[in-house]
Amino acid sequence: MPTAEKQPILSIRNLNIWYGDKQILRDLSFEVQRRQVTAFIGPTNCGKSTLVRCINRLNDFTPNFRSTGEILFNGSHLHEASDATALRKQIGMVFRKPVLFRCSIYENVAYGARISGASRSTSLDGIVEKNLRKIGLWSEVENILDETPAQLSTGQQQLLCVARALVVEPEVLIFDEPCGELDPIETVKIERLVRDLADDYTLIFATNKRRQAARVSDVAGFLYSGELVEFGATERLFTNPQDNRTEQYVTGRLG
Amino acid sequence: MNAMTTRAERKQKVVLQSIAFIILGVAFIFLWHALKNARAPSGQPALEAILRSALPSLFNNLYIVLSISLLAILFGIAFAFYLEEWLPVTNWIRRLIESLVAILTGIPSLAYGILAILIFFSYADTLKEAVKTFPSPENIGTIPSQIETTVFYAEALTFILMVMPLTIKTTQEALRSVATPIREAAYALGASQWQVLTRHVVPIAFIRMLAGGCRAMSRAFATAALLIGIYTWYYTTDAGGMSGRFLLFLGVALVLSVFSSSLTEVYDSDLA
Repeated sequence: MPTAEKQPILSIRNLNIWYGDKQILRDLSFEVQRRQVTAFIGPTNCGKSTLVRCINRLNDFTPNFRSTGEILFNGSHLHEASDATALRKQIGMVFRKPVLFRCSIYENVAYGARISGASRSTSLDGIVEKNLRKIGLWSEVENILDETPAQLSTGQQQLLCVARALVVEPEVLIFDEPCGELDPIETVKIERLVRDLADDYTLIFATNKRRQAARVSDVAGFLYSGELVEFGATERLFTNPQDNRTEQYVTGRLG
Repeated sequence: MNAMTTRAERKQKVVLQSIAFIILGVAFIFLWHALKNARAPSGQPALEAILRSALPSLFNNLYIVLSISLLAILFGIAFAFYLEEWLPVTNWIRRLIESLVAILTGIPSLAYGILAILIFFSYADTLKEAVKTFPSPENIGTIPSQIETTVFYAEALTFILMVMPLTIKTTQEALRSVATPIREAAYALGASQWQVLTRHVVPIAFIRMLAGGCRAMSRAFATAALLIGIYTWYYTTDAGGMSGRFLLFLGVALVLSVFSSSLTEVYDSDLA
């Protein structure tokens, strides 16, 4: 379907978000295209996490959360969908800190398939292997699949989280500062993986490292105290910023 | 979180706490007055008559305390799940109940026990009318038939009121101890609320819930033991029959509370 392919997968219009009386995001409007990496940069507390958590409706659990405006996912209203669970299967998420469940490496990866009703069978083995290969961790964990993931390094754990998210076969995958806890070598691995995944998935990447956003993303947005100051192709945003604040931020004079 | 919200929240909390306090205070004062004015047929003050007639049968056997507090614990756990997992933090019902629970768990168990028993026993007949539709205890196998129906219901309510708030509080604390990132990670993978509860929250919180249940139970037994002790000292010259039971109850309470704290200890060292 060429027409559907060209349509933006997510379009956000006039999004405002409050926690209690405090406004976190002010009047955001942008579109996310399929099979691209869209990055959001900005200093700490600028609302990056709030924004990306809105997209898979994790904010539903935050007390006093309130929003106006609309988020369209594949043309339908995200906040009107009655089943947030089904929605989150289409929009996966990887957090800053790798959170693995207290079970084996195998079970962690198979988790997404299990909660959708699969039982341990050859197909499940296949799914686990396929996804671990996809993220390039298979050879490292092949022999310790039944052991606890606690023995892996933080970077390996984060990769495992990506594999776990991929098992659910999402269309969109959100990375909320995935390298915040990682060392430079592990960071490179994640960045390379993000580039590779962009062939099959739509990726949204929140980070406060501007260089990282420049390396991984096709499109970038600069958030500053809840405002989307600038949004456009990464190269243009970094080489020829239109807004004064964006220029100050990307050159390191602000934030 | 800015200063404005916290101040507003604190104000709301104080208001809710005061409402809860007033509700409880009015209830207790009202019942206490009714109690003081009431007279038992023999002409004794009702208070004394009630203690004299009710206490021996109350502690006739361990089954009563055990089964009633177990039931109360189960209900308390279910209720805590509802409050913590289904009602949002801002819901006023949840906040009012939490305030009530906070006050009720703060009352020393002995004062609580005596007061509750006095109140419920003086209203035992009314209670009996109110719960007529429920099966009478004679039909329940484990409860000996010599215990009067009215007394049974009064006892049941006393222990429920003593055990339930503590269970609710400890269960809520156990559920809160399950870190948000684990819940969020599961939700982000498309797990339903039920799956998050059964696969993550309950397995992690189970030990703490068990410890909380033991603590609540221990409280019930300790109160029972103390009441027996008072009764023995006050009303009988021959303490032979009672003191044995007093020691038994006190022993059970002690064992349960030690077990409870060791469970918590194990859990904490497991996390570290």
